[in-house]
Amino acid sequence: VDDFDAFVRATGPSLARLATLLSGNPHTAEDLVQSSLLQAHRSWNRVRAVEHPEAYVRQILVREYLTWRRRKSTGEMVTDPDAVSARDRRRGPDPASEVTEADAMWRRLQQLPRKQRAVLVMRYYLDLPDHEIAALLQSSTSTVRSHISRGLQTLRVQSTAMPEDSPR
Amino acid sequence: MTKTEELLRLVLQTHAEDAPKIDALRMAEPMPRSRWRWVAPVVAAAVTAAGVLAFTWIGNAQSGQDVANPAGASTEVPDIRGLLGKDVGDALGLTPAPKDPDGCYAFAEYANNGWGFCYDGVLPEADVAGKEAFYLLGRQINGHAPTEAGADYLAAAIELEAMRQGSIEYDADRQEALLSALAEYEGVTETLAGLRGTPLDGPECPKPESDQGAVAQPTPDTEIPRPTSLALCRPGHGTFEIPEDDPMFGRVLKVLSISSPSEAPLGCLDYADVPVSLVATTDDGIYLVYIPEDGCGHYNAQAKKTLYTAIK
Repeated sequence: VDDFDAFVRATGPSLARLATLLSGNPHTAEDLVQSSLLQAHRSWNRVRAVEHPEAYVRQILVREYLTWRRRKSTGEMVTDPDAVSARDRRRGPDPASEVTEADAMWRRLQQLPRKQRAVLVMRYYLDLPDHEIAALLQSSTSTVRSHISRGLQTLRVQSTAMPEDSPR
Repeated sequence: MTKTEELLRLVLQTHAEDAPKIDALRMAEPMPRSRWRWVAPVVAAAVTAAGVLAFTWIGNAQSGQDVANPAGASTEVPDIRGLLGKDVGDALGLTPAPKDPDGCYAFAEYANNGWGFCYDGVLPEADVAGKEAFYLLGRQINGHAPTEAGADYLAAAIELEAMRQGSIEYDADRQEALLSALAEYEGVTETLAGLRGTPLDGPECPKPESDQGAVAQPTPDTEIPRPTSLALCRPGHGTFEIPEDDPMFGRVLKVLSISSPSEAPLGCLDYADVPVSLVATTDDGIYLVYIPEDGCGHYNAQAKKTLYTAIK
């Protein structure tokens, strides 16, 4: 029990950040983290015996996100509009196009299919390589690359401020 | 890195700051029953049970019965065979809930008005057996009496899960019988070729030749005696042990013994398995286990699913 308590204290914040990026809002993120930690607790003896318990629970969390019960009758997990507008209010009107583009990208990210979004978060936030993402999703590396490619294509900003993507 | 990728990194870093504060004490607080009635007893136990891990039979927990089993005495699993609809959940001590309560994975209705029971913690999670039993239960609830084999299957799944959670006493013979019942219903009819592989020098996971590489599948030329434990090595994820007393152990051995067909089916799907290796420790030595394949050279789907379920 003490072990688990310490584990939650140590990993809770990073799991919450990941859950927030996956789900798009802090309320669902909290539910996801709680649900994942609950599963970890159920198999705690096994979880703490693995080489990287946090990676193991992270895997639970991602899968939990991918299979999260749909909300309400719409059948979709909705993004909390208040969370977005609160962020906008904090910033206020910002003439910098980068901020506008960043917000637009965040909104586009939330509209991606769950798996694409999860793959992009794992790649560009967690910096996981293709083969680790594939292992986590029980998928193939070519499928992961396909998700990344399609996801980026959707996210690509089409404004004059960011004309075309080119490798740097 | 493209500009889109660069901006995406920035966006993710920025929005990660919106994460809610998670602290252990708050996690330990009983969650609101309206949303978390199924899980609150378990989470609360995590921090407040002062060393007593009361893995409870969730149905009984919901009914308010004292189900802690500190003396390790056996708790009988209600027999649901012959029951239909609401009687099933009632027999298991579950609380009726309106349709699709949040946080419940295995919800099955017993009436057309949407009311039903959450079977999380009662049926095995996320494996073929659990899902099959879940759907069977749904059909049962809708007035279709299950076949005798179906009812046996559901009863076996429930008892196996109770054994896995420790709410009833572990019994190796009983577990084997339950697994056999599940396998019989699921129709594990492939020819069994036995556990095969090649000898290893030590129990460590064999190392691939490069970081990105994978350990080659061993040739199935040596018969492996019954192992005392298995270790699944997943590159980048570590090693997952499946000990002999794991409820899934017998089932894993069975699916690993399935023979691989020599002929390819009409067509093969274009995908690559994430390579894993499996090390068996036996009284006679250590072996790298051959994982059965389908006719296309992919891992046998049943073997793969069972392995991943076992390490979940």
